[in-house]
Amino acid sequence: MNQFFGVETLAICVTSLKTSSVAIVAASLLGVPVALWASNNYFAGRGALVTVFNTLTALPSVFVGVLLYSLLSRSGPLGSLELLYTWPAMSMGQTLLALPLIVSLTLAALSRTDPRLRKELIALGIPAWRTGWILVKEARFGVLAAVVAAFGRVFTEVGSALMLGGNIRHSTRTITTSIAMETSKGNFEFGLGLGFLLLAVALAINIGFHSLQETRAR
Amino acid sequence: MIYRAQRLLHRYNGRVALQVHDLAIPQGSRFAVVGPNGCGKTTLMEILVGLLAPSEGELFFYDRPLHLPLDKDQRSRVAYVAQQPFALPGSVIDNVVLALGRGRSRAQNRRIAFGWLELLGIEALADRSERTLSVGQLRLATLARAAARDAPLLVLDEPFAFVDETFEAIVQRVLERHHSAGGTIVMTNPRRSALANWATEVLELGAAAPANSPQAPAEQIPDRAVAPMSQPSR
Repeated sequence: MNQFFGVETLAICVTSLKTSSVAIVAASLLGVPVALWASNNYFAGRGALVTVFNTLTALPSVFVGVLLYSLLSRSGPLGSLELLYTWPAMSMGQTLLALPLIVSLTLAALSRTDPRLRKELIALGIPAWRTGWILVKEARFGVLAAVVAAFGRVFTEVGSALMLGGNIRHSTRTITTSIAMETSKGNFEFGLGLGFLLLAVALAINIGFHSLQETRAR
Repeated sequence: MIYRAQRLLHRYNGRVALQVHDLAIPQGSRFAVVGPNGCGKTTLMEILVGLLAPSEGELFFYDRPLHLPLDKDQRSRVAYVAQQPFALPGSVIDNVVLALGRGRSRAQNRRIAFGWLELLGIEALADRSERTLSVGQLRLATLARAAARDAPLLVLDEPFAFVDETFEAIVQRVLERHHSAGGTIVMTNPRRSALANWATEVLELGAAAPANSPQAPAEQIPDRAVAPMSQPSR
């Protein structure tokens, strides 16, 4: 049990947080503008686009792993980047997993804003980028909830992290890939301990988000 | 002419909400749109200010077809005060500053905005959050915001609903100022008599049309849903 409280456990925690945080920032920077655009524009196929994003919220992480593996492997089109079995590759996979969730939930949050707000912004001739900023600010609790939900999804996923990171010690080993490895070795206690650690980190992050929401609400 | 349209029609879920056979709003006029509740006054206002596209017919704005979204030039020519006053999140003065746009320093914008609040007698509310305002105060704040845009056309949807005489006098003063500076005003009211002495032109809308077939062409819609534009009242 002594090895549980060692530097190695700390290292896998840091790798988990690093890959998931980068993925969430990237997915938010991409997803929130996409949701804003889809929310502000009525075009043919808008309903289909929303359905596609809703469906992709159930995207299997192993599928994302296979997809990116085929792109990033030495013989793949992006093989020259030599990203396979690195933490950026894991972040790329997690970004793809988080993106549909952020788009869908942000879109839902934006659709709940007062329709009069949108009309006033149009009537006042406010530029599109500022309109978007005001709408996101108005829907901030829903947008933040989308980010929290997406973080929960990527922080606890194992499929794409294992395929794209390879569970390399001191490099791409995360909490979830470590749990999978320890369990397969028969170290159930260690695996369970890591599971509780995962929950504790997720809880701490959620408490942080919640207090941020409370501060903004006041 | 600022606006020109023929056979303008709008449907909500297949039901005819507005039908105007002939619309012409001259520059510099005080144009009143009157009619009972549900006759389509708000729908017409939203079409005029480019928030809604009519289901049928084409509207011309300064002799150019008005298509959504309005371009920057078209948008800068019209200011709108909605029937239900709605302020953007923030203080009263922030709302007015937002309407002023860019091109000036923040201090200049605040000074101009404060001037408008003084004109409407609500300068004391400048730093109050929009959430703490009464409906009457909110109406004045939204009027200040619209007037601050300095657009030649001011469109107001029932600005006198649920307000006292003091408020009405303030609004009249602002409208008079706008009109004497060469501006055009379009305003709705459910009662014709309320705007009889004010308007130079009146468009009277009839009662809401009964449920017509969603596919019914405009010609088949009973004329009683529409009243022709009257002669100028004075």
